[in-house]
Amino acid sequence: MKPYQILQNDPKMMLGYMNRVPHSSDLAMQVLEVAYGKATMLLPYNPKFAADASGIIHEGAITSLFDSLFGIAVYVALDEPLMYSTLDLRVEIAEPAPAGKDIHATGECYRLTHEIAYTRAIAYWESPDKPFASANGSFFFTRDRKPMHPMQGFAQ
Amino acid sequence: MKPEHIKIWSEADLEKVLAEVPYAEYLGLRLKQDRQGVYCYLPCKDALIGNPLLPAYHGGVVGTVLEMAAAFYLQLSGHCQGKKIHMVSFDTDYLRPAFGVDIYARAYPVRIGKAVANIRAEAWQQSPEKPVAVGKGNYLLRQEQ
Repeated sequence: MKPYQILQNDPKMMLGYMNRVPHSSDLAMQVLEVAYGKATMLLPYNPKFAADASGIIHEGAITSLFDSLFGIAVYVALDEPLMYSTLDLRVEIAEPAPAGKDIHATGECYRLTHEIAYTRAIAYWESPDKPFASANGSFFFTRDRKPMHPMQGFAQ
Repeated sequence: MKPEHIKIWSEADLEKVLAEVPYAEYLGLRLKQDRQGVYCYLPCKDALIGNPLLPAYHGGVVGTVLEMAAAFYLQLSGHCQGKKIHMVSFDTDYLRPAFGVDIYARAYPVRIGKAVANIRAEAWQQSPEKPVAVGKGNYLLRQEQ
């Protein structure tokens, strides 16, 4: 089985994946859906993540959401687990996410090379047709390092 | 841009600026200052880790500390009084693994215009000579209604 099939088939595996990323868990992010090279995540609204007194979500939390989403989008694009880290990440925010709104981010790893995974995503609160933010990233494989999400003992 | 006159802030002023940003409080971010001006200091804690094997910071946290440095720089710069600062885009390059120790970030203005600002920022851990990440952001400065 490929990584995306393992995550798709067993909710415990998905939970295990998320639990191994402390910052994503701390922000209470959830993975809603994965497919081959694609993922959708949720960042539930929390006033602690606000940018100011109006309660709009800080762009930093959106940046973390995109980085987490890309982490999983790359993972589910692979044939076997590998270790990788963020090389660059560009986030564009067209409009702040309003107070009280849960945020969705959906994206994909659109291309893999031997060394780099290329990713893109959007974020929205109402509908994917109305994104308020978008991101592009590239991720660098370090094939000599142990993968962070091995297939064995996956659930932990 | 030429270096600007460095203003010395009181601890209370910096505390007040920080307290207005709940997300900075959540992260545990601090504002410090030296002869080059104000910079960000983020003490390491488990909740900021992305890869516990190394351990290393979450890429989103490294990006965020650069964004915070840039935004606080703008806010304190004196160019943005009565203006709302909106981050249009932010681009982070990750240069080295940001291991699980305290992280610092400082912003440098490239251009601050009337309506738009371009700010660069650098994050480091052991030494500012060895940045773990650099970033640049474009900001819209809107007159507050």
